[in-house]
Amino acid sequence: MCIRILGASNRRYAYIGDIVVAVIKQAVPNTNLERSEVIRAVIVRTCKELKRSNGIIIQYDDNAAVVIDQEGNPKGTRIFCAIARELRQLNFTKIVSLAPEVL
Amino acid sequence: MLPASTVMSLAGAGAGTVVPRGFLYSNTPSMVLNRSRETHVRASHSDVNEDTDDMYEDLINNYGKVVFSRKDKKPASAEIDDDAESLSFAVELATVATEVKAADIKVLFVKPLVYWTRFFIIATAFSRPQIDAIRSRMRDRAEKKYGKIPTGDTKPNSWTLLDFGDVVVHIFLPSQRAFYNLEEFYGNATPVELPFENQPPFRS
Repeated sequence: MCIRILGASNRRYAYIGDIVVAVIKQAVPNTNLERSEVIRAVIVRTCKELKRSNGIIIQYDDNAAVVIDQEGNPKGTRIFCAIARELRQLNFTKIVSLAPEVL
Repeated sequence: MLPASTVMSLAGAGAGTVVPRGFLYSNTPSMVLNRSRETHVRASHSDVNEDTDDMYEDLINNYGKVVFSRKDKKPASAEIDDDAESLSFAVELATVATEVKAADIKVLFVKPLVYWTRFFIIATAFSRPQIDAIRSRMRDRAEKKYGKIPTGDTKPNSWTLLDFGDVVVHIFLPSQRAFYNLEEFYGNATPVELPFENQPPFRS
């Protein structure tokens, strides 16, 4: 569950590349993330379409975020599924380099 | 998977270019389809399932061929020149890393695997001050010699990343390097031989 979007005073929605503070509602057992932990995460996929200046529109099937720590390193070691190349311009090259596919 | 700028031409001429907004594979972007009027294919939110995927696959097998029509495509010679330039830049940065005693330096040619960069440099440093030293040295050398300014981390970090565009430098602490294991993830990339690797170890 998202608590707050960082770097914004009164924004309602977060888009791709935004950092959010969130709380974990559900977690896979035997991992180092637990339920009700407050974390930071970067939005990497949204159902809301992302428009590029060249006319391409990217729309994913799901909403997804990558959990990061305070320094910006991802807490996991691998990322599954495709992510958008906008993340590289927003200085999330670490996430991009772990992803199997960049659109 | 096809790149986003690929244009698929299906079934002959006389077709209007349709940009289906809601055209969805799972997790793939919208593609530009050039369709004939005879093929009554509707891409909408409702009928997107595996059947449509199969149908498109059949249509492509029967009528279409994939045409790569990127306008900004460079000729092969320019591409090779760019590769050579990035290679010399990458080797230079790796040399800088050895000067500051980074260990286990690897230069990987990842261009065939990912489109967004050409070379990865992966190095291990043993403390944060050392990471800072490597980072500032690389930054200075790149700025002086090649006029490139990196983006990425501005503070020394357990995984510090410098993004020079064509060359991406990863500097890890040993534990982080084992944790993320980037070499295994890019295992198919061709390692580049470094000039200082074959030299005999310095005797004191």
